[in-house]
Amino acid sequence: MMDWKDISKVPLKNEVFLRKDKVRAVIMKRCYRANRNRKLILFSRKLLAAACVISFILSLTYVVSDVKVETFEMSERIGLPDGSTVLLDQNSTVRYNKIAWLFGRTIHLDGGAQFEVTKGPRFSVVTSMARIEVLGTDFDVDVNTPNNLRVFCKEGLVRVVGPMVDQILSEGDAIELKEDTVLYKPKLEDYYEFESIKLADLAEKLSSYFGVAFVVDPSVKNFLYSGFIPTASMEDALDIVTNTCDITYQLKADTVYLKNK
Amino acid sequence: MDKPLWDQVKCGNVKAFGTLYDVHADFLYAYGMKIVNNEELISDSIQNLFVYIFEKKESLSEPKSIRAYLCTSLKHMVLRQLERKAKNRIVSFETINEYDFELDIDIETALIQHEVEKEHLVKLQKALSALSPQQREVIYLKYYKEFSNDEIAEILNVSNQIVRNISSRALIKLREIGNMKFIVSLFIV
Repeated sequence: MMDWKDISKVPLKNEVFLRKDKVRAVIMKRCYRANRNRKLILFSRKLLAAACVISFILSLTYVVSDVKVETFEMSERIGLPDGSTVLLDQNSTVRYNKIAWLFGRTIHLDGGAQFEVTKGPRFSVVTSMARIEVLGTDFDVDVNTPNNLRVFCKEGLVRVVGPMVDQILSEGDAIELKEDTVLYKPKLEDYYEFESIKLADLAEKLSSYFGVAFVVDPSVKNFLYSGFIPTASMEDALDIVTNTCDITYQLKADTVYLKNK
Repeated sequence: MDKPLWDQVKCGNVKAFGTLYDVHADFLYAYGMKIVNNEELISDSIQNLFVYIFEKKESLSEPKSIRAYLCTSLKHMVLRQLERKAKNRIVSFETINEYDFELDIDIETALIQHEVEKEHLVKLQKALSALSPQQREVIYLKYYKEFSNDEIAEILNVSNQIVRNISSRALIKLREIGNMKFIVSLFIV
């Protein structure tokens, strides 16, 4: 009995795939490569997801770690994470971040404060006018108005850095920034020592110390002076000089006259 | 056998994918060469088809018949390739879609393997060539590759009934041309 399906016994042309193995090799190679790339992409995605989660947690922690202290009627003493202390003046604000603190001791100040800093990495106070880098231990910072900053170094060293200033303050030094002017006030020593200095030259120095003009009589201007001069009081200083050189002085308005007795 | 294989392919099993290729590559090649007699184009299309399947394996739906799905996909891929090539040669898309689906009898092999006379083979070839391309495609898929009417309907994008109609008309036409049953019976001996 013959069926039409027996027609399949009649051989046809082009039934044998001669390049079958070659094509298979190419397909397999591409499949293995696609699988490898896919694994790589999946791994990258997981890594990215993990990074996103970590970033989110870190950001959240950072935000939560922000500390802000504000005073109104009363000043307040604040302890910082490293043991340093801030005596915050009335109507002042300090702000720092606990996480950022681990990488650098930086505190933002608006108003006035007195800092006592423990030893450690650089301690910086950021104000609207300048950045104060603390190299010592005890200092005052006062930002009374947006354009008025005063820094006084009680101990150690303090560096004040801003658009118009870069000054290191030693113990007793102070600096004031008022709008466009910088007023640096170095500490006066309690006593200055002089050795055979002409009276005319000494008068010039005293003039700069005490902020008064000096007029030295020609008869005494070449007198030599050796000894200490106190800086606390101008009168004391003039008494010592005039007694030693056996001369006299007269203070009229803002001018001191030195002359023979 | 195909369904579990397909599931493994969808899971990215390269070995299962290799088996899928081994099972279907010969048939796809033979089928493709009937659409267009261009070995390079058909080989490239088969390669592109399998690579595409592997790359899109996760988004692929599960076909009713995998071989019918492969067949349909290959046909589209080949026709698309022809369309691309034709763009530079001003050939209409309709012309491309009207492929011949030639069934060329390998007369030399037939003469060696079976004790048939050449004139019978020539007569059979004439009878096959007298069929429409669609009738030849149905005869080929149904009797050479033993596809079901549903599978053929999927490949031709027609209903099952239309496939049956095409098939019966093709056989009537073959009978009209000559005693094809007798010629075919010669190959059974």
